Amino acid sequence: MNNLVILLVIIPFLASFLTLFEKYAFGIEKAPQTAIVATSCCLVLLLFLFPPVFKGKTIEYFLGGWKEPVGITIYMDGLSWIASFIGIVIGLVSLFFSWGEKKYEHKFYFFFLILLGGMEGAIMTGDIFNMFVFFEIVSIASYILIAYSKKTKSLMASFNYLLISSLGMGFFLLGIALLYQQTGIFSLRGIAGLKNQLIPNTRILNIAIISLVVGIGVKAAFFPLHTWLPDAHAFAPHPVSSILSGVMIKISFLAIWRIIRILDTPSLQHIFIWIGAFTALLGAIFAIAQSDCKKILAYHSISQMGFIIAGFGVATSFSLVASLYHILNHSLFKSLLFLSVGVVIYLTGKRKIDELAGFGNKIPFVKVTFLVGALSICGVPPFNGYASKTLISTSLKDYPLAYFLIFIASVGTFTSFIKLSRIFRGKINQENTFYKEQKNFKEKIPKKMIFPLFTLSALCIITGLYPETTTGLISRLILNEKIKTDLHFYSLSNFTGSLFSLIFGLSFYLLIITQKGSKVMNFLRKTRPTLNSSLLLVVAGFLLIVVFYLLTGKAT
Amino acid sequence: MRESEIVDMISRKLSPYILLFALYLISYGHLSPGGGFQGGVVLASGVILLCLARGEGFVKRKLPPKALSLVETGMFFIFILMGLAGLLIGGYFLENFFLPGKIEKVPTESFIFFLNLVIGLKVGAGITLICFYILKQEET
Amino acid sequence: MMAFYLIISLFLLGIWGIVSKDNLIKKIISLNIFNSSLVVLFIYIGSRTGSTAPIMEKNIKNVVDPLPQALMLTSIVISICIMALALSLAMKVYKKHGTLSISRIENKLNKDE
Repeated sequence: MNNLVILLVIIPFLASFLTLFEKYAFGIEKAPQTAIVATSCCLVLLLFLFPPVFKGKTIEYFLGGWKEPVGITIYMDGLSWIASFIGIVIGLVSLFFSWGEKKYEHKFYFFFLILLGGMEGAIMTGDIFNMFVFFEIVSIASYILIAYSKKTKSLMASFNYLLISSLGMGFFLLGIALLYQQTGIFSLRGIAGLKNQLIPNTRILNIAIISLVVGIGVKAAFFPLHTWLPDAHAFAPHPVSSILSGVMIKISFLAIWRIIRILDTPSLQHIFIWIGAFTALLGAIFAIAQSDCKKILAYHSISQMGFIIAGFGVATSFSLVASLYHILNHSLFKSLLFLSVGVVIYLTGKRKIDELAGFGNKIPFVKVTFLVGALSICGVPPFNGYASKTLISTSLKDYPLAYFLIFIASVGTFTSFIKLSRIFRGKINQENTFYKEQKNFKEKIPKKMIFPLFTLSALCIITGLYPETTTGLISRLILNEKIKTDLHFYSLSNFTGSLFSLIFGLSFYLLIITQKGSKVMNFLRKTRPTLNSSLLLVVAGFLLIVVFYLLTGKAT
Repeated sequence: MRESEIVDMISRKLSPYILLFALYLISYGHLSPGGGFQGGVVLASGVILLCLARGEGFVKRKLPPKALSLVETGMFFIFILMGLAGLLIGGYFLENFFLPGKIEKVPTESFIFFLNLVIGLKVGAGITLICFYILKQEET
Repeated sequence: MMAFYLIISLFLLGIWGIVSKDNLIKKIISLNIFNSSLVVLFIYIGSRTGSTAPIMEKNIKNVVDPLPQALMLTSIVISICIMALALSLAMKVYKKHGTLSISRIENKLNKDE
């Protein structure tokens, strides 16, 4: 039973070797099939591991036989289980989509499987330096996958991401160096055990944790460290966009979760409320101004991560369950949205909303799945976004300023999705020539692309219709108990909150499409950060958080 | 791209000693500074010295890139197999199964020696391939 | 103390180089300086406990800590891979546009929007 844990990391790496080897040695060209078989094996293994983890037992695995504190231990507890589950399900769905698109060589599947294996390892490990190595594996695989199409915009997006992420990982190494100088061991549980002896020097410990958080925070995209995300997720190939936006930013945030929860520093956790609320607002405002459909979705990833981070900052067990529930829901509906928009771009080749207006009426299946995704992210009742956004808003009741910022972010979400859904409603712009050439778009969608869209919409609807079961499952997995408070999902106050967001969002949209509104939107779209200013923001963000902590934090 | 006579002759005389030094670094990695990665990089630098002196067409005829690719991916596979062998015997992944309790008559250091050898060959082949690709880009 | 001043100055020099230089290759070189300063920091931390190299021959009593040195090997490998990737990306961009200056490339890309 214990060996199954390490097989979850080894199987993607072995399968990645096989995708290259079978072409050169045997001449077989079945790379997508190999990848899908390997990922399904990992899913089966994960389902085998569910019963012991659900009963509350943490499976520990000593790598190489060396015990703590010398060796590296791999922990499979509830948090790792949920993260691996999200990673493997979304990876499987994206692999089906890329198989349907039929234009990726075997090298693409090689790096995709390395990305999956690296993400599994990053979330399960209990040693800080091992976490650094796995995050670098994930980073290198994602740089290559983003630059896959070799157009200049993708290459520059990948290069920007490379510089910003390497700078961030340098800060991560700085944090590890400070921790090693204080304690002399690298494993997280060992440092938590020695923390009582470190009371005189606890400021250095907290600065080390801030460095670690800034390091992984570059990949998790919160406020000063988010500037690489819109270009990278918008100019990547479609299955890569969905797995980066759906899984990688979440797993980076779950690593921060693990570090802060094991090392138990409540004063650092409260900073996240303000970072999260401000990130949510910033993402929503910039999302309204864009005209490229994938960039709107990428800015919304930033905004929803702000929700999750704000939920994590309020350190009650209720808000932790809410935050993790929103992580699960956001992976499902963000991948669904990226893949639906991906089908539209695959069929037409165009990306701007003005050129694509009204096209979606020709492909009703994709219109339905996009509608499920859009209603989920806006927080409309029967879908899963409503349940998790309600929980996060309820847990922020004690911080009225953050609650207000998150409310404005929800309004902004409604507005930009009314703007994005112009692709799927309204009249067709008759000046576009490609409408005249091809009449029947419905038959051109490959069958392999229909299966992932269908699965993701079904999962969105299921997790939305049974919120009590899902939150009960999550709280059993991460807290080993059921939450005691009553969760009135369909009470009147939460419902009217959602209704107010809808009304304000609609009125804001009508305000934007006037002439003055579009001038403001054009101005917002043109202010994009250059590479030098993004890098300066990372360094300034680190210094700001350290100064903020030194001025306000108590010595815990 | 052929350099002058002095550079050409000295690099041809020096290059085998660099390869021998790389082998020394790889095999004594568990006792003195060195090991898999360092030996691999020195191995690659020995090959690159010849490339710079004689032009890469000459080196590519002796060390074809397809064979280097095969070495690189094969060594990755052998590394994972050595890790999995620990699982088969009943221990953990990447465990040193030559310890006296499990397999006798083989010295304990041979595990790390094999791993160093595998990593050294992989890194040498990998960095040589990187430099082949960069030099090919420069000519076109 | 001199070691700390060296480490801090290399760290800040690397950050300044990445943030404010215009040429792509100079940014990559500054990234290398930044990573080297972190390697020196780790080895300096590990050197407190003793005086000689950790080669276990007879009669050697005080050795330095071998753990950070082994981990820094991993870190150097990672930084080599990242630099190789960054250089090949920069080469591809140079082939298409003929310029290595980040401000000119961004002007060209933003003109399309």
